[in-house]
Amino acid sequence: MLGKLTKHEFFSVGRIAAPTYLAVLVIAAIGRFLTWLTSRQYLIDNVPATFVKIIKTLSSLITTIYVIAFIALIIMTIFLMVYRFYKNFFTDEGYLMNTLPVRPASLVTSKLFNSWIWIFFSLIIAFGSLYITLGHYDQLVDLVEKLSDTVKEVLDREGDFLRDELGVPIWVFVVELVLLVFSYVTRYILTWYSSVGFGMLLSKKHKALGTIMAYIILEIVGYILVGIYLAVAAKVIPNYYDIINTSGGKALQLVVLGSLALNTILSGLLFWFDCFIMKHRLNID
Amino acid sequence: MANILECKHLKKQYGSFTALKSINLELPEGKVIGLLGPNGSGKTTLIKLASGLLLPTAGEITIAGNKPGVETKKLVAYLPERNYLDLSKKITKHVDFMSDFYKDFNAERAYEMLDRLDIDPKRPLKDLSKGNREKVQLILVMSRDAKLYLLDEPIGGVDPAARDYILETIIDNHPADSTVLISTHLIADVEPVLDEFVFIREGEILKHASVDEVKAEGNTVDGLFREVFRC
Repeated sequence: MLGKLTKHEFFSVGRIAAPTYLAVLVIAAIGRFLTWLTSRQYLIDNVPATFVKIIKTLSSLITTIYVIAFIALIIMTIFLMVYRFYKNFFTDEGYLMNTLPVRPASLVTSKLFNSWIWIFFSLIIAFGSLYITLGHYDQLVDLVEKLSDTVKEVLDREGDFLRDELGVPIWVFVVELVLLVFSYVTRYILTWYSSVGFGMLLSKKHKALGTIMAYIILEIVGYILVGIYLAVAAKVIPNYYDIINTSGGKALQLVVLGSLALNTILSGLLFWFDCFIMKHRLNID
Repeated sequence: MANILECKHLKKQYGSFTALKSINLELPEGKVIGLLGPNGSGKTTLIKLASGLLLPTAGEITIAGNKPGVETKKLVAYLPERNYLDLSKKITKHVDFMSDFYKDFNAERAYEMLDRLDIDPKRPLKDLSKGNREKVQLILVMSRDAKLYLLDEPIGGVDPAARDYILETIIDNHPADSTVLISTHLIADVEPVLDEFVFIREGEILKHASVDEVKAEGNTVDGLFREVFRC
């Protein structure tokens, strides 16, 4: 059932997100074309100056639209994820979704999966559109190549040192960093999901306000739990302060793994909270 | 005859307001039952509890012996009084959705019913009139071979011709061994299709009897309702 829920949600989100993503790519392509056009000396020399001016103005306008669309792409994706969760479970559509023969955990998981998928897609579109817009600048291509070479050089020269410092091979550390980002994204999404559910309990009339209030409350609770977690870590981990103060690599490992564990715990709590509200506190108007 | 739905001292409170006051109720299999009462009497709350949308404050409700949950949701077909479908989606997508989640959903029957109403399933719901949207919702529910149909105010707010269509659709499509619980305050309209009725007022069950009993006394359910609920 989780697969079916995920599939239906994927297409429902896609109907809204895909045209927007496509629009961003099209705007980027038009911008690139206009930039190319205005850089052609042949064109500048052979067409009326007014026409060139119009093209240049249009090019600037498209660039502005692209920047707005780029920002909107990221915001829209996150907003869409939260809105879909709210609309599907806490509005009239909830009469259908919450009476399906599936567990609340499956409903929440399907939404979470889709959030991951669509955030991933939005990043691909963001980078893709950036490449379309800026990829032809030789300086940028050079910069990326130089950066890549520098990383390779540092790894070749200092690889052993870094591995000793971190206590793990470099690739393991990279995997840890990827997982850390992933855990932050998951925690962020689940915090919003919980805020929607909690917000419905706080205010039935002002749902958006209730959700934002709930988000602030959950963030504060989150910070308190982080404080408790750090205090416990300082007590439990031997030589905690020595590690933090003396070894850069080990301290970094401690922070990365600690944050990863913390995000996993908090995400688990938020997930449970979402399921609890949907099972025990659901009251659609 | 076994009971499909049982309530034992079932109570539901919203804050300080008591919507259902410790009710006891047994609904047998294979009957069309009217849940009759004025607005705010607790009809929707009872149906929401049976469909698993709400949890009781006290007491117990069971469907085929199980508390509302994943297993009972497989047996229950629920029609809320609200529009619960995504209006931007095509009807075919809604049919696909129901087919995916309910093993007892008969897509062929759904398309036949849509065809009879001359509704193009390739159209999104938002293109249909309010009346046709309600009919599509009913068609999706009645295309299931469920054990218990919970229909919340299915004929409220529609014209008499549409009421006839809705009641015919319900009666023609539910399996003989299934129970249909129709919540309404339009007694005269549903009376001809009912086997039993339940009167509910201010969260209390006032009467649960068969329509034949009332007829044997030379009365009608509508007449009895007017007597019992006289202001």
